[in-house]
Amino acid sequence: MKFRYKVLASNIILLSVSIGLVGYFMIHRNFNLARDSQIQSAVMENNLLQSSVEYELLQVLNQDNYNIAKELADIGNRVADSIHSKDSSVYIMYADAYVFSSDDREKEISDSLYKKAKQGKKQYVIEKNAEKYNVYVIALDIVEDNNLFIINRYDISSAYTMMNNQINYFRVVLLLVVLAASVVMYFISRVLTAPLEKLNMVTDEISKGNYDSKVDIKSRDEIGLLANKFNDMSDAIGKHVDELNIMVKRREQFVADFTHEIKTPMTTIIGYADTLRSREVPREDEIKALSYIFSEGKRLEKMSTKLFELIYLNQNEIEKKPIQTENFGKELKEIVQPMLKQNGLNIKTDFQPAIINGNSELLTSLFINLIDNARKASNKGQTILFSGKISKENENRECYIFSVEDQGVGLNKEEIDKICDEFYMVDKSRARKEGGAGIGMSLVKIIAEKHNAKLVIDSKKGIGTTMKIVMEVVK
Amino acid sequence: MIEILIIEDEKAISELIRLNLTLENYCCTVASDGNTAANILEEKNFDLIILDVMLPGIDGFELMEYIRPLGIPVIFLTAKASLEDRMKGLTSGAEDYIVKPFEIVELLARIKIVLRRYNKDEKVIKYKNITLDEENVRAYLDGEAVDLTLKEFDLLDMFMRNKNITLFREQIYEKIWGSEVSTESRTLDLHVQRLRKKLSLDNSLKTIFKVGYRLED
Repeated sequence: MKFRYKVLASNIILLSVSIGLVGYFMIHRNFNLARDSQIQSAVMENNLLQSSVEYELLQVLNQDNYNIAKELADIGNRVADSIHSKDSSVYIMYADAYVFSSDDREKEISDSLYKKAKQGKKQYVIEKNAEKYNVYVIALDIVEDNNLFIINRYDISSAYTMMNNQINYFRVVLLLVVLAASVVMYFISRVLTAPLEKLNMVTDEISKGNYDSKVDIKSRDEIGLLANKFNDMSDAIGKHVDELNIMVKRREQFVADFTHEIKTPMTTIIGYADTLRSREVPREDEIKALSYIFSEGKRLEKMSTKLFELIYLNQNEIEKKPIQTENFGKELKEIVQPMLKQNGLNIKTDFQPAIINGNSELLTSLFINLIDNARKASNKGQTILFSGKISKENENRECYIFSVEDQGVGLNKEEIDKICDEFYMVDKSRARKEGGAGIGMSLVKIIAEKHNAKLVIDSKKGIGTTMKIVMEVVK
Repeated sequence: MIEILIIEDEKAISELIRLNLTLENYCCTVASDGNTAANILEEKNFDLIILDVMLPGIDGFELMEYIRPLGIPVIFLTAKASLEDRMKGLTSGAEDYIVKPFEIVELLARIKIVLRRYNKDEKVIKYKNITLDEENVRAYLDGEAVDLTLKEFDLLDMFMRNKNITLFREQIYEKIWGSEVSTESRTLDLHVQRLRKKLSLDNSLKTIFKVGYRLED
């Protein structure tokens, strides 16, 4: 059952019961009042009767010769005439026998009335006969040691009829009111539960994977609050799912790139080995084939080492120690100089002294990669500038900027965006010749990340590239 | 002579293909990217193109659009093995599709099939005094017909088409018998003996001990 129907049903039940109770008590009270006033009238009529009968009887008793029963019948006749209404009648009983009856209804009177009768006090019973309600009022006098009962009947059916009318009328009113209230309540509950319906629909959407769907509820009540929290939740879920998707995509891309990347050395090694084992090849081609097998095998080895480093770094925390930048620069220069000399390149270093916090082995690897990239981009006779300086960001923060600057071929925007992707090579054929695997910059990026350092690439095609590593200075 | 254009950016692989095709007496030209290939195609006509899908700049599929109107059969060479890529390769108009890493014998076989389809390969091949008419499945020794079973004919055809190449036992079984016969069986040796006898090849059809056989000039 829908919530709104529950609200509707419980409201209707509550409303019907309360209106019903109110109606019941009102009608009951009205009825009692009407009936009591009619009984009152009957009693008053009886009073009148009694006093008339007593008065006339007194005169009879004062005579000498009398028959009480006969005289009572006469008196009854006269008195009854004076009342003269079909709604009431008079009965007089003397010495256990009726001496006067204005009609024959005295048979309806139950015995209890006679037993209840008391001198000086009116008693009454209500009898129901043929859908008519009559009140019988009794008065008791003792005349010459005999009981004299003066009884009058008074029709009080109108009180009952009025009650029945009221009940019928009340039923119609109750029905109409409940009906009208139901309609109104239905719309109210619809309005009240509409936000819940909305929430429901959006939940469905979200379970279908549509995380962008939002609940549009502006109210400031609990439901509005819930809607807001719900939106926050779906945002959070959407974000997590997006992140997961991106991660999965990156993984897939990585695996695809990796398989593609090892396909080339594999094809080369398998192909040349296959050629050599199955046919006679001129000596010159044989040596060429063997050197291809060797160099491609070497490349596979290098790739696996670097990939291992990458995975290791991705999963492990690094140990950091204070490093003196001046000494660090000097040591690095000594490492790379022979390699650069071989390629006919010069290196210049310029370091401002400072202390940074880092892992010197990893940072060495980082800068060797950067300098190696600079070497690949440079032409004979050019100079690579490897420098470091302190830069004041604001009052409390000082940064140390390492930079590797070359005057080589430079990069365009697309190349800068992709350069940190695994297996990306700017100049594929040249990188291959050098035995590159396309992982160097990925390593640079992750080592920088592990040092909370920023990698800034500044480059212009044909002018040169500057790669900067910005990290915090230890005070 | 059959002219083949190799479009492949990995020098190691283009060299590998060139080396093997040259040994097979094909005339090879190598292009390392799409633009160079287009320039070469403008000046010279080729019988077959071997095209790497992943090329720097213009990729293989794009280059295919340029080649298709020329009517030159193309064999795609790719590192991607997914069904989707195969479908794309074949629907783009390529004759065949080879996934890296590949075996040389497979590459040669596919080249021959494509060339034959385009009627660019000889239907009749000769070796010394033996002539093989592939179309009619007939073998002649000194001009006289020799009775050969179908398997013997296929085997001889394989040897003559891979002259001077050592054919490995498993390669031969896979090609001639498929999976019907175990590579451990003596079926191959029996067939080779029959061929040697029927066509007097005792001296030129060499046994490479424990490896396979080679037909030498």
